[in-house]
Amino acid sequence: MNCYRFETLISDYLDNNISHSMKGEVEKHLGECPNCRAKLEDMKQILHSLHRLPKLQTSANFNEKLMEEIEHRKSKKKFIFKQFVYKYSQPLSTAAAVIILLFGVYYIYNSIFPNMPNQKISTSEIQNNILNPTQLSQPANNSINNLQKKPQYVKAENDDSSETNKDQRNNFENKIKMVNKEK
Amino acid sequence: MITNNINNNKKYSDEELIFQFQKGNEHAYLELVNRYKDRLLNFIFGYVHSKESAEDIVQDTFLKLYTSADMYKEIAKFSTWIFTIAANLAKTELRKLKRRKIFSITDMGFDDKDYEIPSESNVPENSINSKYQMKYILKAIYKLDEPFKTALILRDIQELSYEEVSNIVDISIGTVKSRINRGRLKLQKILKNENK
Repeated sequence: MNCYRFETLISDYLDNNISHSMKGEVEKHLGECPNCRAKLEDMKQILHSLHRLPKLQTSANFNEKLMEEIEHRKSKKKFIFKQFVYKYSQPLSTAAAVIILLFGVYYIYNSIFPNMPNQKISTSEIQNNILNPTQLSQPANNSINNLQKKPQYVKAENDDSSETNKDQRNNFENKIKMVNKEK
Repeated sequence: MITNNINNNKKYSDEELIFQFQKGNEHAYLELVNRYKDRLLNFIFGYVHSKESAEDIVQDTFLKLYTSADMYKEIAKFSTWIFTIAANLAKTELRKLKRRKIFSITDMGFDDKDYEIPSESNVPENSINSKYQMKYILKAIYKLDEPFKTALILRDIQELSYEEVSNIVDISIGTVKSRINRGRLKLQKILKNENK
């Protein structure tokens, strides 16, 4: 062990935070090195002084000031809450009334005008429709019968090319026939 | 069970007191204040070097304890928790001071008015004669760089364990030991130079 190594271990040695073998090495070095011995004694005195440093004390009214501040903050919180309620009560209640009204209207509207279910049409129905448009199946829902019946196939509003549509239909019919033949 | 009369003979641990306060017992809170106010004052004085500022920060620490007591869990010791709060508040205050660049002569240096030191005649005769006067030891501590100063104050003045220091400063125990050792050696060097 050299003096540099001893310096790195001096605190551990003083705090008794050192292994038995290392302690032996340190003490052996101390026996051989007067400088390190002096350094150790000096350090002991410094630590002793640090432990005995006179302590500051808080003011006599420290507790009183602390509790006053706590009470002040508590009352401030209540005050802020009251201010908030007072300031925003009217707009908040108006907003709440509007929301309730909207929900009410939405509920009433849904009761009077429930949504129509989507009609799923099978392939066979499409085929039938193409061959016999008048035989298209009607939805079973009785409530729909109360409404004005809408045609299943609506001619496009801007469709001026009726000849083109007829050709397309014929082509499609031919394709269906071919598929049926293959089956 | 802690009653409202806190002057009974049984000494409750800090953790028992904080749990009682969490349940609403304000006397438990006051007991904790009495136990830690002076210790925290001396600890924070090491940061701000002004008794008045240090006392304000201690007040803030206890206010934070009052409002945030529910945040304490039994993972760490109560002393670690409260010292950590105090250290964070002290560092925040130091940053504010640096930004404002407001330093009074009292804050910059050591002032006897802020720190009462017993005169030589008051020191008991059977105490070990130290060749270093208290005043110079304090001055030397404040000349240390911040990481070493904090470690030294917590370990050698506040007498906290290595583990507690490690938790408060949020560094490994190995780093704590290294800082303490280097801090002590630097302190020794400063005192030697002062004595020349």
